[in-house]
Amino acid sequence: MDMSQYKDLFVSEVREHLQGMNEAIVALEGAPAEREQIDYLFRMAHSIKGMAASMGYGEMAELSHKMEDLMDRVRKGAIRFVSAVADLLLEGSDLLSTMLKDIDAGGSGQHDILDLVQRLAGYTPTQSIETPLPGKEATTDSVDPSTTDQSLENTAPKNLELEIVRCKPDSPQNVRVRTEVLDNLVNITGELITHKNRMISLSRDVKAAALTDSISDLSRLVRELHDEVLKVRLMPFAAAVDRLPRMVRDLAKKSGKEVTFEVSGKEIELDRGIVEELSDPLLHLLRNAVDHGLETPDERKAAGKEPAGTISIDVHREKDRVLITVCDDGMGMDPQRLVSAALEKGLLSPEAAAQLTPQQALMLVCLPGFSTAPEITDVSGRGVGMDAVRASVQAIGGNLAIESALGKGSCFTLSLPLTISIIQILLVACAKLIVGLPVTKVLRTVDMRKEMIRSRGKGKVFQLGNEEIPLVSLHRLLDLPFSPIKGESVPAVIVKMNERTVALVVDRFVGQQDVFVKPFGSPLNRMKGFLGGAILGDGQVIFIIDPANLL
Amino acid sequence: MSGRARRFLIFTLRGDRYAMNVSDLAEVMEPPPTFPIPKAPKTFLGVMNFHGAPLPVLDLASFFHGDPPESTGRILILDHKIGSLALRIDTVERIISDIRGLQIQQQDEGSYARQSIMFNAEKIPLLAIDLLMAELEDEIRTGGGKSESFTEVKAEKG
Repeated sequence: MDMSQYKDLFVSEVREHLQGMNEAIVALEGAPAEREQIDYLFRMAHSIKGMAASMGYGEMAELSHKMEDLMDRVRKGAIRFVSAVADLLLEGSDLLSTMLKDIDAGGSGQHDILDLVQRLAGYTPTQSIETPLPGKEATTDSVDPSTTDQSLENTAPKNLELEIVRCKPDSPQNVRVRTEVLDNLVNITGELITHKNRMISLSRDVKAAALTDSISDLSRLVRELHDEVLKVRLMPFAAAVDRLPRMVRDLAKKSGKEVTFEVSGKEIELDRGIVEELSDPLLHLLRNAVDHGLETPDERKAAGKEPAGTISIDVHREKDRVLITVCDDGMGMDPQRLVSAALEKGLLSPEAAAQLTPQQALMLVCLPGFSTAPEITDVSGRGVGMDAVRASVQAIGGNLAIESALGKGSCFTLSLPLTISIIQILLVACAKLIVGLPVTKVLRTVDMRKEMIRSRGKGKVFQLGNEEIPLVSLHRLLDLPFSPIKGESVPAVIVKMNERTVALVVDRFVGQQDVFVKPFGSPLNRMKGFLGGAILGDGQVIFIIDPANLL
Repeated sequence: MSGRARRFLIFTLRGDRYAMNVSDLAEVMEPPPTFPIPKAPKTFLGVMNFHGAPLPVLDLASFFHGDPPESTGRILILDHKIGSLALRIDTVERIISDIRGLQIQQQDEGSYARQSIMFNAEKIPLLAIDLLMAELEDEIRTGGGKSESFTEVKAEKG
């Protein structure tokens, strides 16, 4: 029987199971006796085994079978869930994930599993390894399974056990929807709003009471639809942080530090576009917090602190923004030393340095080039990829603020918009300028061969099928110096301008991109023909053209 | 005024001193990288990335005297309640407070000032930001449509 048609479903389900597994393993490390989690982990391994076997991925099935066996021994009380068990299981989960990626990419999912399979099967606890795990021994917040279906909104999650229960697979009331269907819904709703506005202005001229009433009902419905559609795009912040406990655990192990990781406000919902973009900045911030923010257990003891450092992520709403704070109780940063480091690097003039407030001095870590020199990182204890963090946060319409107290720790606050207007744009180059056109306004792009271009009256036209399309130079529309046509063809974007189809001649196509549109304030908002600006990944500011209004 | 002394930032443009209400300002910074603004008047240096938002930078010297814009000196970011605009100026001299009983006089017409401040026996014009903003809005609104292409496409349309 041909199973290939089920592959996508298999990949997505196993991926989810593996994610659940990772979370459960890390959670169990903190609370090794949590029965619910042990059972859950066993079930995940069991399901993966079954699915992989039915799809014919023998090695994947065997590996998950051995993991299931190990969990079974834990379940029966034969061995304790100690750090070494967690390490083996995480290694297994990583290998399964590698195999899954191969399958997803069209491969056979084959991999050398022999070594790990042997270690899983041959695991025997030794007294020396069986040291009790640090951290949350006592499960003070252990969850009664019968109550977990209720809304947890008022109980700020305090530990991971609580979280896992929430993240179990979808209940039957939920359906999976492809993201492009959601995006289409948003676009169509946007168009509906435009048309509703047009009908409102038309009805003013007609002055028919019945029509006005009907349109006002329509307005209300469209508004409700818009709200609902935007809600569909919302997803809990949990989606951005679910893999983080695992990551913090690994980082802490590598750097020999003890870390208690806390997340609160996971249930807060944000636009999907924002949640997707958050992974990388959060990862950078956590890596910095573990590597540079927190001290080693010995250093902490010497400073009179608990040996285990705390890193916390807190999410909460504030008016129309969502604030995400990443805090550590480590060594903190010294604004004065950051200033000296920036001066040394030549990133700052002495004059400018004198004007900096301590708050502004902390932001120096976000300067490109500040972090690259290792000696500066040592001095500052920060800075790895902070320019990238700030750039990605700004690209989704957000802002980064830093607070720090020497010896007490640092807090990085991302302030983000609740919803986001992300549109797909076509980037085109015109002289030295790169501008964007919303893809929805582009009828098509063409490479016009020179012989297809003819003169008509004062201007030129291009033969496209049966139609003669007038050429309009984007250079001229944007008051840019005209560059002569090189090569055999001329790139152009076919758009509607003043209800008329025209070919906008550009220098070249640069690519397509999803951008967050920032409308202009005064005075640039007086400029006709632009929807707003956007910041590209490299920090470049571009203008987004509204072709219909450019004339 | 609500009991608190007004404060003024004194800055220079081509050697001349000007004053500005500190409350009209959000930040003073070094010139950042800027990117070209299509169709904008030549007095604009470009647009900068200010905390993730595009912000146009006007060269005030260029605006007052018509010189080509420069990217040296200092950048004054206006308070967002006034507008989304940054001004390039030459140097920031100092901040003075009218706690010492500054003499503020009505200014004659011109150069975007309604008042001037007497300081060290010098009469320093106090920039009226609202006049400047109104003028800029006007310039930008009318500046765009003048290009040749406008008439060209109109002609094609007929």
